[in-house]
Amino acid sequence: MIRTAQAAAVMTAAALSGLAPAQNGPPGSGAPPGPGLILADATSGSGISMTMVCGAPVGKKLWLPELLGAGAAWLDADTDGTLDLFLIGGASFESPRPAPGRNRLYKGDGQGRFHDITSLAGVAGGGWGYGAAVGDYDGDGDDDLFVTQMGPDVLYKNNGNGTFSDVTARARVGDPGLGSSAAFFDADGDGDLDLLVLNYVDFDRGRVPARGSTGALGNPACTESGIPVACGPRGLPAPQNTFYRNNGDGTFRDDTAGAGFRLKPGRYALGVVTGDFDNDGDADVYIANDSSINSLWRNEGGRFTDVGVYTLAALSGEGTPQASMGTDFGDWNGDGWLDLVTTNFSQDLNTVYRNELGRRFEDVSFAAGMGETFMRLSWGVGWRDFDLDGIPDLFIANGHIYPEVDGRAIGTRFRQPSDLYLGNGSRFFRAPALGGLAVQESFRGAAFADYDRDGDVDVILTALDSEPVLLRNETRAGAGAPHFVQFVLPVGARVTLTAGGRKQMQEQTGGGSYLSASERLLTFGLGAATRVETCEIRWPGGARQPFSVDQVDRRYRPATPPRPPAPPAPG
Amino acid sequence: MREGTQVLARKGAIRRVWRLALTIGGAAAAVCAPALEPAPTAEALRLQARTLRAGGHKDQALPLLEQAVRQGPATAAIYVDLGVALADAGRLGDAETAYREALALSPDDPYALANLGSLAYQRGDIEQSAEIYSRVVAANPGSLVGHCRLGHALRFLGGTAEARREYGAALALEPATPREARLRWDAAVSLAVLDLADGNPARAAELLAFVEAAIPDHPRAHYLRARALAELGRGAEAERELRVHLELINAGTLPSVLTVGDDAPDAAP
Repeated sequence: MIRTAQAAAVMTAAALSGLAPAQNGPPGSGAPPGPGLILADATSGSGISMTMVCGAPVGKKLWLPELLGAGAAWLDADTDGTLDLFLIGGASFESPRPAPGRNRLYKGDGQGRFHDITSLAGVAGGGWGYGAAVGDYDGDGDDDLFVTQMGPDVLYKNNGNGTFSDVTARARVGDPGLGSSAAFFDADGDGDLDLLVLNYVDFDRGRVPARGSTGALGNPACTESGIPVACGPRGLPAPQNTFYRNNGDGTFRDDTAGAGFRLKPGRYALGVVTGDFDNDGDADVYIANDSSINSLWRNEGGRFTDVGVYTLAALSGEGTPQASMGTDFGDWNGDGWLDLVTTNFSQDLNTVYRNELGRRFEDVSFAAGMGETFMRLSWGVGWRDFDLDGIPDLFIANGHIYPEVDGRAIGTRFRQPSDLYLGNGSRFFRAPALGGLAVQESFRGAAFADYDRDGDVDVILTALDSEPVLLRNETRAGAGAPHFVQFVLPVGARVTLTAGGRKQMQEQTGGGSYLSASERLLTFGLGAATRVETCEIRWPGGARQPFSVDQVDRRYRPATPPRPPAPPAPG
Repeated sequence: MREGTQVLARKGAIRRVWRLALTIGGAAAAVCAPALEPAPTAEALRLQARTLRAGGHKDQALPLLEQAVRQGPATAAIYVDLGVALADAGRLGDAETAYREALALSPDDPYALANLGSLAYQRGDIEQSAEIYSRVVAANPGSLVGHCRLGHALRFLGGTAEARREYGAALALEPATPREARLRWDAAVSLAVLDLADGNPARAAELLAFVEAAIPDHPRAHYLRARALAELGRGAEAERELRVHLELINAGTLPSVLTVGDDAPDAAP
């Protein structure tokens, strides 16, 4: 027996711990009645058909960049008022350079049918694409499109007639890194959209051993649960992200250092979302990093400081760096503060943080019901009110990166279903795996939109080396459907409303999810309420405006008020 | 009774298939091997494998243990170590079979049970993990590892009060090894986690101060104490704790928060 000098202290600790049974049981016990079908698989017959290529075929992949997948973006490409869909096609190391363009742009008819207009639009690309961001960077009223690639990235300017022009060189945004997610947002409050581009890893096939090669043997970064896997990201150089400040004339300048975004060392960045977590009127930035500390960048007059660790938002609740992929801001508990979610590797929970008055974040994953995500490997994510009951739900796209896990009895599979967690304001409950939620793929991106204009939130999912899956929300189908109200607002605007006695807040965030861009639309579920009692819009820059919602089940496009003169941009 | 007989018959069938597989492999190996030296005993092979594994040569341990099983007599300890070597190789299904073989020979083998519980936890079957660790502590109430891991599983399942009881039981035990001593401090830290979840940051902070005094570089204590202090409005102290925690992160890797504390498989002694 070992009798350490610490024994007495341990016993004191035991005494201090108070071994009486705790009074609190698991919160949120008492699950709501199980819902029926919420998300139907609407892919078949939609006209969407494109197989993503991300490196060598599944089972033959040797390198980390082949595991990331690619994203999707909802946008109104031809400014006709209906939503269109952009899908990133990917490429492989064997593809010629430039590769044959594999991206696809599908024009939507607002009824759930799409047809390919890629050639006409000129967005097929020619590189190995990963992520997409949508924003009106030039302020001409239409959706422009940014695509991250295995360097250099591409900016497509919308010509306003359903065609796009590659303006990367002129705009000076051709970051050469291995880009992952990107976000348009107004970092400095000057009224135009700046651009933050994440880079995942400095990757050189000449310096990284291939999966299962002699050079990988014995390298812990090349093994997972005893299985030889693609090496990294640990052990590989971590790059810097790139922040482009909008010059207001159709060009950008790299102001990464000036804005404070430079980190030493870099981190393996995958997911980004922007939102005002401290309610001070400007846009802050959260970055989900793989196998390293996450970052929460607080906006301090257009310059940014990483306060992630000191606000307890950068690590798990027990202080461990996680392998994070996707992220989103949303006020899931209705207290008027933006909370956070990160999706993580398997054998870890997806992390739900509760924002404590903008001062710090509390990891409440267990209490929120995220224990069920333990074996999932999760990517795209979003807080949306899928069942329109006035309480945000949580959608998560899942899929492993290693097909080798199949048949290894380790409790997880390569192809996994996506999960919809229905919220009750304090906890989430997994919806039954019906319809589209029963489809299993190695999913990656998830982008949210009301593509059929029926008032509820639909989803497009991307899948590694497979076809996308379109999930149509059935909540508004049939009689007695819950009511809603929608707002089309610029990034950074937020709406606070009360209906049926319930207060809700949503902000139009930048970025969010993983490699994907959702429709710029706020959808509020009203349940059975047929009127909105109060509604206020807080515009980017902080101006507040009461807004009268005359009628429910409608989409509103409030006019942007004139802006006060902007302060001079830093840098 | 009948069901029990069927279970035993199934176990016997598994064992026969397992031995057949090893025999076939062994016959192939015997063709190539020189037959000059006397074969070491199965137990000697096991001890040799242990030495190799301890020296970082995990891949070389597995063939020796497979040989030990083929050669016989296979003991529970040999099957446990075989399971550990198989787990090292990522063959978790085979590892589970080996642990069950050990239990067929020695139904309360603490190492086989502990490793089975750990495997169940790692594959997300937390309820089964809790059941197995309940068996561990029922068979051996002095199992510090068992109490700690049962506490983790119960905490995962939302059984806060039950988890608290198990961590308390772990704290009350005398550690027999340095690893157990570390686990006991982990139990104290886990109690602090429960205190935080239960809205008692003051008690968590005090408990963690004891842990920090004993183990200044404990990987979780500083962060958790920072959380507690932040909740108590002691921001400056919380920041100091976070700085220490960051230094620890930068100095090396931290264990995953949700694997079973110290989740390395337990080789037999």
